[in-house]
Amino acid sequence: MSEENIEEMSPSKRKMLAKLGKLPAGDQAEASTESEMAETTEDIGDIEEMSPSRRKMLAKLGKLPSDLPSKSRPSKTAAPARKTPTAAKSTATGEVHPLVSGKIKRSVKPKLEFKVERRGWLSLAFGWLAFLLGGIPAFATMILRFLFPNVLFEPPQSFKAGYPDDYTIGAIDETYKEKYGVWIGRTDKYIYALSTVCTHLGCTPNWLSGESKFKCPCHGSGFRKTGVNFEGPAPRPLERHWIGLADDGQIIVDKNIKFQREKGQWESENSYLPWT
Amino acid sequence: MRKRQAKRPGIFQQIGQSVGNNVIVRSIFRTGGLPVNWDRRQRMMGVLNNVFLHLHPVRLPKHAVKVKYTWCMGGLSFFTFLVLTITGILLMFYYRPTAEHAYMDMVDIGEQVPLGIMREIHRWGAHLMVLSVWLHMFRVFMTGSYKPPREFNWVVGVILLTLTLLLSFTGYLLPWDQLAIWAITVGTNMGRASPFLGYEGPGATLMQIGDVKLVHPAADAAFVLKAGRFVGEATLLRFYVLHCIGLPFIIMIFMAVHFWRVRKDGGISGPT
Repeated sequence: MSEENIEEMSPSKRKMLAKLGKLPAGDQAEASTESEMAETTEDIGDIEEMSPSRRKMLAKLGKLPSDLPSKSRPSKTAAPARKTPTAAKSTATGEVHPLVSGKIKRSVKPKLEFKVERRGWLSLAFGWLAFLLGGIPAFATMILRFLFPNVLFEPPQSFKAGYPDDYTIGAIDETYKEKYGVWIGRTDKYIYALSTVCTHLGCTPNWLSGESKFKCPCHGSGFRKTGVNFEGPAPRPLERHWIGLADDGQIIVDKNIKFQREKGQWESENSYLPWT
Repeated sequence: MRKRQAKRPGIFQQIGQSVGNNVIVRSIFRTGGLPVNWDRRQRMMGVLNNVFLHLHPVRLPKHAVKVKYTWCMGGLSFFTFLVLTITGILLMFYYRPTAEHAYMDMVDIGEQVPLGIMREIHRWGAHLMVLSVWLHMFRVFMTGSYKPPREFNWVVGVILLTLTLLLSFTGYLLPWDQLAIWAITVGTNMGRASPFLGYEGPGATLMQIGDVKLVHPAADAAFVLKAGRFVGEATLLRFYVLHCIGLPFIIMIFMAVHFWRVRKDGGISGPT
């Protein structure tokens, strides 16, 4: 840089160099740069008497003579201004600026960088807050909701099971076992809907008409025709479902409501359909 | 101001010191405590010790984040891949690759499932990924970043491009509508003209031992793709498995190599 002829430079290059403080003071066109130079020559008081922290600060700003032993390492941002004010003054004579020979790279506006550094955590904090409180829960909710479809392709919980007189007294009807998981039985007094879920571990028992019992193939639980358990590990009777009559005279079974004998619910209304 | 900052730790440092100094945190971050307290060396070690970051360079050159130079297309390609992986897995919950169910499942994903846009995200994401991979390749070519020492990574990149296109192609069949079936018919029919391996291709007649033909309509490249002479249920299952398991598995291996080589070849190329 120092070898170049300042007079031959383009105005823009000269301006840039002036900003970087690489031009002799006399050639600097920018008023702001001049004022910066003026700052460097201000009275900084007695160096020996000032506090260490102030001396450190001044050293960083490049306002201390370089020959003074400075305890602090000059920060990188302040590196270009490290040279002494006396050296800067000497450039007025037209000699080569001593700064030119130094490494001048990350220079110019330490104040601006400082501001960014100081308030950087704000945007960082807001960013993380928005991400943690907004983004992640929103995505998690969406994905969770996606796993619950709006339409189910499975048999409804409530269904019509034909007319009461279709059923034989004393028999167990298995028509709705496969699709709905329900046996329908009829006695001489009432009709009832039995769940096909074994009360032991949830297998599906078989109806053995010859022995007139339900027998679970998994662990051998046995249930009477009424659904009451009598052998094997099953701890309680089969459950019954809500049963009633529709307006058209058909039986309706609703699996959403169940009746358990051990709770005395088999006496409840709609736990059986009176029919003689 | 500077002095004060040097002496008093910032708010993150304070939180980190109070929260981060226990056996659980130290066992997760072997470098010591929460990342907020780390000095320069610990930050480097933190990157090196992290399974997710170890493909990543410890330090980034400033030019690496210049959008004007990189267009961020490599990163966007990877981002779309992540989006496609997540949405793809979610779609698999509702899609059955059988001739009976495939089309209606695809329709139901749009109409009966919450966030019916999920399939569209996957579809548009796929288009975007193909686009960004091409643009990434274009950028690398125009900046001369394929030159040594990055010539091997360029080859890996070409393989990744091919795999991206194959993923796009196999995914195209899955809606199982007329467009999909006939597009794949056309696409796989091209396999018939493969040299030596397609029964209509050059050199196919050479592929025989005595009178026994090794390459014929029921045994050639197109047949392997379709698992039959025409696009049928077997093709759907084959493309489904390739699309969801096979190709993603292969592309992830090559992606790992690709990212690792970016770092090992001297980081993201920069303006010279």
